[in-house]
Amino acid sequence: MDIVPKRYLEEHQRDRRKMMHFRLQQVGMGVLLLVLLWMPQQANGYVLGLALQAMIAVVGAIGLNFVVGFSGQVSIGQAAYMAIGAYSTAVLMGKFGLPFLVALPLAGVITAGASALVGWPTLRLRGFYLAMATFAVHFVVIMVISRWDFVGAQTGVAVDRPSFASGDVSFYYLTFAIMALLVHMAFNIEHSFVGRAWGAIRDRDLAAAAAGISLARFKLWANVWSGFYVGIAGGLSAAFLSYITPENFPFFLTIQYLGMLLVGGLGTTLGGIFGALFITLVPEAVRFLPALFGAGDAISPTLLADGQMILFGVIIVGTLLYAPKGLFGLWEDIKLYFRTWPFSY
Amino acid sequence: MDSESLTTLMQTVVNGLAVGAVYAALGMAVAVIYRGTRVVNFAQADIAMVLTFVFWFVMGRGLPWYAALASSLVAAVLVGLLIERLILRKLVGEPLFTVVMATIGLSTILQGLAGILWGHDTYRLPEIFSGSFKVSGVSLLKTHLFSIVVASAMLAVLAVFLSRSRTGLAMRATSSDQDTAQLMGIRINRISALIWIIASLISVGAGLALGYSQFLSLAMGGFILKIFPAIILGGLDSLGGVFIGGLAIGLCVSFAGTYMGGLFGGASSEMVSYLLTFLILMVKPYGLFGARQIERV
Repeated sequence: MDIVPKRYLEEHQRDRRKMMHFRLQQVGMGVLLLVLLWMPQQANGYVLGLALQAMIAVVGAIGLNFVVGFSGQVSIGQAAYMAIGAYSTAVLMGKFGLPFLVALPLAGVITAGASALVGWPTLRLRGFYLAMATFAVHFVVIMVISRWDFVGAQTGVAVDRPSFASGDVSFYYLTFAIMALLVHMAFNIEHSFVGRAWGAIRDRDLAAAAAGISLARFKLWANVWSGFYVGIAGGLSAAFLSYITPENFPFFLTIQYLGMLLVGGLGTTLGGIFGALFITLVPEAVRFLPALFGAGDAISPTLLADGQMILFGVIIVGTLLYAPKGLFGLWEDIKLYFRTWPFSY
Repeated sequence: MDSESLTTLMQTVVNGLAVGAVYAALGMAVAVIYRGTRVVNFAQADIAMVLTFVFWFVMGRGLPWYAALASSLVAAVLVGLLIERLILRKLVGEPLFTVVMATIGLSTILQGLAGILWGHDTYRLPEIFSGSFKVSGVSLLKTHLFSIVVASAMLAVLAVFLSRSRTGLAMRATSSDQDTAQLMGIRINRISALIWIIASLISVGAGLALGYSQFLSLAMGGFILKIFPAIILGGLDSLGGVFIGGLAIGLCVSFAGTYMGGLFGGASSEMVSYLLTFLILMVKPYGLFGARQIERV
């Protein structure tokens, strides 16, 4: 039973290309970087909040991608791991008095440990059964944090942003730096032997084992890296929200992250980034629809939520039906078109 | 054992069976689809919710219950056909992750639509039966009896249909070997459409059972997550297994609620079924009655 489409060869060929091959790409990256660094100076609170959400989503989606996209293990415990990361950050800062920049990576490590702890006994499971096991974990984790008084139970717990980045603008720069570092790391992991081993396991595990790849070890590594990234995303979102309760980590969060991977393209870091941006930003457009049709800008919160739900579902189903390789696939097609122009291939 | 604790025990069993019957009913719908098309339908509870809303809506217009039931059944046929035709047929042969995500997308679409159409409130279904029977201290709510009867009846009808009718035979042939079935002249597309229709019809029963034993609201869509333990326990591709799994999980939940209430801060009844799921997956991943596939790492 295949979990994700086979394209190991394709991936191998892409690996041989450098990350930034053309002058145009270098210039483009430079401009993008400048825009992102300049943006918070101009943006209002709403835009800044969206940007922060998007960056946190990028980190979380890359993390989930290690397990689901790269190594082909369907995990639906994302929300639980984000909760572990968020609550670890809160506890390490609140109860142990650690500074944010120490607590955050530690939270990542704790989440990585939790993820490995779940990953180890579930190595034998695949597909739907693995998904169910991780879902059971989700339920248990959420149950524990909503009953455990040490972490605030139902009332939740406050998380302070670091003193040097308490405002939205400075927190934006901090998050941006962390995200940039993690994205860079992710590209390196993707192109290292670990990333290629994951691809091999996903595409044909028997062949991978025959080629000398230890399935158990690399699947565990996928869980560890995924846990680390997702834990950090959770910690960042805790600091972003500044107050967390169990309600911040519903099962729908997991679905949103899976949607990001699907829309962006499974099994590529760039795809995860595209998907995270798309799923965070596009449903916001529903907010502006009434104004567009001249119906005033009044839209009730429930109607907005329902509209966003529908749009999200339509995006998912539409992607599956009409662009199964996701935005990353479209991106590759566009690049190919211009590279080979005026020929068709 | 004194008579009072015996009554408590019997009451726990009865309640557990009633809850379990609802799990079993919806679980059967999921199992029918999985057997026939290898799709795990995460939208099944949402489909049940929409169909129950149709029932509620028609009854709210002052029409009798059989008119409401009929319109709900007609809606079920339409919904099943549409979903199969517009989405799932185009994804035949895709990996499991893809089709599951499609059903999840479908689930959010249905949630959003139902939210816009019928609002986010919690409703009570119009009463047709109320009150309870009492047998030597053990009370059986009529709504509970309704769940048990509906679930058992649906299992019986389905079993007879699958084993006795020509179409049922074709469905079984298709699920055991699609290519060969096609070579024998079975129209796979029709079978797959039929499977979705049958599952939607089962959802009507499950939705009504759920709606009458609890409430009617958008939150019913989340019920799918509660029936997965039952499906896992029984075995994903066995109808009878899912039925028994549903009853067993219902009993578990009920017993945990009565006798382990204090554990896990009062959350034991929900916790137990998930811990059990994890355990089953570790020990016997294909459930009690599921087809064994051997996989090793």
